[in-house]
Amino acid sequence: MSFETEIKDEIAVLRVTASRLDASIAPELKKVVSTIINDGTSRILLDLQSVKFMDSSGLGAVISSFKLTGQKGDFVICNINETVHEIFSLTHMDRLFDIYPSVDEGFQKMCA
Amino acid sequence: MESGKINLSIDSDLHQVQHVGEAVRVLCSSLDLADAKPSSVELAVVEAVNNSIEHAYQSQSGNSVDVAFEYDSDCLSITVSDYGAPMPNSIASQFSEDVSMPSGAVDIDELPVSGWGMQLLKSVCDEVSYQRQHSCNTLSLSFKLAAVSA
Repeated sequence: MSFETEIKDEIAVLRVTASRLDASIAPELKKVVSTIINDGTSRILLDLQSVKFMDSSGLGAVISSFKLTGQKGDFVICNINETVHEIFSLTHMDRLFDIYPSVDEGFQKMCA
Repeated sequence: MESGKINLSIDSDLHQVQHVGEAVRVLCSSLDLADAKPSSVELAVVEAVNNSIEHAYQSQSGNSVDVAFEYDSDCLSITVSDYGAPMPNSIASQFSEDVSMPSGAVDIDELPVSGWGMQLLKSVCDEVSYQRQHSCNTLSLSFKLAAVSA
């Protein structure tokens, strides 16, 4: 499994356990997020701590996941390393996403 | 810096692409890149190989994608080749255009969920070009190496 989900206070903490969020697993991320939303949770905290490399397909899956949560949902990213941050920065997606250094900080912001 | 050549060939399976990425990292650790980081070179090569698998071979395994590295004192040149379908014009035309990333306020509803690969590739490479010849698609990437002081 490349993903683990834990529900805390109606927030789904979705942890990518794979070291690469790339074209080989990007479709799986979208399916996991769809399942979380269909199960009734539209607030998602995406934990990328284990991810050391992300390609454009991974980025597309993250954007798609954000879109799936919809206007009433919430989508926050945390724990990204320098390499992954560079992808967000190059594409200016760091302006779009709320990105926090840790799960705790992301969780606190979502609960505030 | 000595010159050198390395050739790799992988099956057109997205699960195999990470092996090329790992090889790029090892190679770049012994080269003195001028501007790009090793992770940027890895990203560019992965995007080029993904493009071959997804567009030239329609994500069907059982075909070959060839990656050739050649370096000298000035430059690391990488070619990614396949014998699949030609690159769609919508993608190939991007090589003659400036990099176009969203600017200003970003509207999530307007954002595409695909098509970022070639833009990223152009962003990190010093030069990119595409050529189709004798049924072979070749994407050429180059990265400058830092000048060695005398």
